[in-house]
Amino acid sequence: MLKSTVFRQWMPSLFLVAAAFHMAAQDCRIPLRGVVTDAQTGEPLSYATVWVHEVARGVLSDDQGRFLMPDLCRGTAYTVEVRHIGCVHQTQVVELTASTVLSFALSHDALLPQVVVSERAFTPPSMQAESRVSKEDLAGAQGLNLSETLRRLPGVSALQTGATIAKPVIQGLHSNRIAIVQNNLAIEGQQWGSEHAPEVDPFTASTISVVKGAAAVRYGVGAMAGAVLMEPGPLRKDDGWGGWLSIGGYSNGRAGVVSGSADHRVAGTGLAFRIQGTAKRGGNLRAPDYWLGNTGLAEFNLSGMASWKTARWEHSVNLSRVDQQFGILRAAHLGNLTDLELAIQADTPRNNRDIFTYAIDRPYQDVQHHVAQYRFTHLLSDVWRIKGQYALQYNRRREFDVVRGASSAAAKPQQTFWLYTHTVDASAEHLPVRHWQGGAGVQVLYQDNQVGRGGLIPDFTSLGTSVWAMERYRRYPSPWAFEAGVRYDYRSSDVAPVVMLTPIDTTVRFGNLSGTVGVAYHLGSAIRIQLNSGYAWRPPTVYELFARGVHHGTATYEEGRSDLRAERSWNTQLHVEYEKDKRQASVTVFRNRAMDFIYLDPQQTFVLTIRGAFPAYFYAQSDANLQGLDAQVNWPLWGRLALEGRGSILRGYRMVRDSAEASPHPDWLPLMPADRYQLGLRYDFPVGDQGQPRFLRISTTHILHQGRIPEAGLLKAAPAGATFLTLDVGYALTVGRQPVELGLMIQNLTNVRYREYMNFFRFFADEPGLNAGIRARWTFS
Amino acid sequence: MTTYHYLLLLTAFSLVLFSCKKDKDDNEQELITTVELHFTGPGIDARFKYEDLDGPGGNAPVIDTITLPANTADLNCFIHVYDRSKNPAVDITDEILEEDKEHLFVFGVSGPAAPAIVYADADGNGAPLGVRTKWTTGQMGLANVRVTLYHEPSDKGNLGNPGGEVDVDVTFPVLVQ
Repeated sequence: MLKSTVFRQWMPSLFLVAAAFHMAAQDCRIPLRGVVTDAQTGEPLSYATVWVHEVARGVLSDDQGRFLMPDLCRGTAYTVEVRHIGCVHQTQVVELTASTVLSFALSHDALLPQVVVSERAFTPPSMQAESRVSKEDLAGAQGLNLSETLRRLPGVSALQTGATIAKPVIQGLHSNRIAIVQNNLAIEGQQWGSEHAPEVDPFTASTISVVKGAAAVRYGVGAMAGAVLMEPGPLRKDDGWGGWLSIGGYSNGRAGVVSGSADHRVAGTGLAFRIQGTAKRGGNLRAPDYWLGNTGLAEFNLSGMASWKTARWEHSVNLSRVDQQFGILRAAHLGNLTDLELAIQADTPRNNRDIFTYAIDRPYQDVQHHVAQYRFTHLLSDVWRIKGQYALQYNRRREFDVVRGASSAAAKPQQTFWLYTHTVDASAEHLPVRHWQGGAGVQVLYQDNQVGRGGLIPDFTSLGTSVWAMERYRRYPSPWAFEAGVRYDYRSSDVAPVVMLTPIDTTVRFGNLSGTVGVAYHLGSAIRIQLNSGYAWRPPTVYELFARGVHHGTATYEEGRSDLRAERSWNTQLHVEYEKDKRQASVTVFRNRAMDFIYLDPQQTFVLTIRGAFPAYFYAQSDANLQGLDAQVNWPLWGRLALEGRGSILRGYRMVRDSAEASPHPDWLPLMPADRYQLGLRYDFPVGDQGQPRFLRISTTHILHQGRIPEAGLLKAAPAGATFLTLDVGYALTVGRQPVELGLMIQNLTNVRYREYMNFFRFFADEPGLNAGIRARWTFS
Repeated sequence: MTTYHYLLLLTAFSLVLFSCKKDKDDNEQELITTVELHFTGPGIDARFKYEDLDGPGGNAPVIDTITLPANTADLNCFIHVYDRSKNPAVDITDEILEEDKEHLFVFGVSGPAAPAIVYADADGNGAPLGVRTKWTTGQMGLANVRVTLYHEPSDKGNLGNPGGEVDVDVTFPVLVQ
């Protein structure tokens, strides 16, 4: 009932806005719907291109062959062309009425001289719960970091170290339990650290999606709880030059970002390439009551891609570098436990430089990530293809601490990590053969991690090998589909931990199976039910095995245990999705049962150091359970007004024993995201003359107080819940002949003062206040 | 160029990158392993140290008992701070004296035979520093002295909470005899 009250309060003002914008005399909101099928087999054809010539817009058909192109004009004649690889194109002229549903049955052309390499058609949509950041949210998050972009998805949150350093959290798990896969390559950085943000440039991706649940069979042991997939847009299909330029400005931190891409296809050849770059600079952020001293950032990213296509081969090369500097809130730099206690007691940050500046001072992080990647795809037949990939990744992380200016350490970083990762992938994949579609492959990984003198973790080298196979069955028109996959990974690491000033060489070996089974049921054309269950594992990280030192951010002494076993989990997800016209809703219910879950266990003792006594935390293992629900709804309410809602509920607990004899009892897991929901109203303005989307959305996000926290330990303090408003406006138009997208976004519209449980800096300072951002993006073709 | 050539090129490139081992000394932590109190004055010339050579964890620190003569005034104390994990050892006292405005030693005493401690030096602004102090002992007995070194204190006038962050926080047992 509360909802409808809010609704009534908002309606009149939204109507005024609507009336001001609504001037169209002609009804141009008619969707064109249709189905594309294979004329020979009757199977739906997914990824067929449907192109409407008059408006120069295209859509792809989905896995059931359906397509929908919104916002066409009633009574206008349109030329609709449907294309699919290896099929004869079809063109049809239609005049639209409200109920137009077209059907295209495409036949294969035996005389077609060549088959074009297609990336997409081979990879069937996963039966795992997968959610994609919508185009509008992706555009709206332009210039923000990856975690901020993903936050709009249900079940995804962020683990933060201040406002600039954030890691994505999927259903409560993060770091080495999820994989970040960019352009088909899992990013290998120093992901064990909670204050180590993923080294990626979101501008390189044209789609970003999140796979929930055990995704290890597809993406390796790093993906035991899910994966973030970042796909670059396809290279240019037409000869000549194209590209885009994007600029943005943000009030909080007085930040600016510029990103651009130049695409070219060499006329008459199969060669296409792209050069893309992003530069970003921001100064100190501001909380509602004060500046957050030393929270500036600087980022410069560059990448180049080239691909060369022939009838049966495609080679592509990708080179990229990400270079980031993040200032770390000065107030969060602690000497010892007394400092932490004083910081927690203080209302405003201690040692804060309450001014605006762009200068990044100590403490700060300087991170570089370089990727050199080569891939090929070779079509063996209409059905089979082989793929290969080699990639080298080089990651350098340097951390600069507050030191005495006169000391020799003042010219140097205090922590440096160099990580080299070589990966070789090979796979064979096939399109449906007697209704089975899938593939198998191998991967070899070699890592060399070197750490500067006195580093937090020891040097190590790792060698990993994996084999996997995955198949999926669907026989149209049966509504059932099945999927099964299996993978074996073996990893051996040579580690040189320094124990009491003496290096000791150790080899640790882990090997295990992962598996996944899934079933999907299509209830009519609108409802899809998916059940997926996966078994996955990960080896303990070198940090968990050999850490020994003070973690200054939390004033705790952390010690690894070299006898940790591999962590395993059974993760089951039930996903129900409804989609019809513009109505869309989905619910995911999950239960993740983890065996030998690795966590930091607070001890009863203090470790005495020259800086004072620190509470001790040792790595430990026990069984844990994470379960919850993610839901999302997009529902037209009334005319152009739609409701958008999202919510996530998560409960995570582990079994603990108070002593060796005592029977285990459950205790909450620390740092689990609090339940949250988001409710928004979206108003769609009439589309532009080229069908460009234009909308206004206001949404409220409510984060509940996290009351479910472990009994012991410093991580006890959980801040109160918070509610804040976000405004988004998107407006696309055509200037000259170039499409331009304009946007306005205001985060924390009412400048609410709040703290987030998932932010380590909740002890020291409030979250940033109001942030207004404007953006523009030109597309050249 | 064939696939083979591409692969060859990339392998060569990766070998070049891979083979350049890094200079691990690019990196340097500021570690304090040792705090040493050097007493001079009537009837005494002695050094007492609090030392943790392998840093936090591992071996427990070695803590000397400060032994002072009873009923004595004008005991001069000079604090040395070292990093003895490096070779040669780094004398951090010099850095503290050089950046005297950004450092402050604070002394806390407890116990029946607690000595009286006063600052015998000042920084460039005339505010206390605490590298040099004068100690006065009374009756025989036991006491504890807690020595705290603050880096970048924001308020040297408030010895209870000067701000900045703690670089050293050690407690010595004291025997007055």
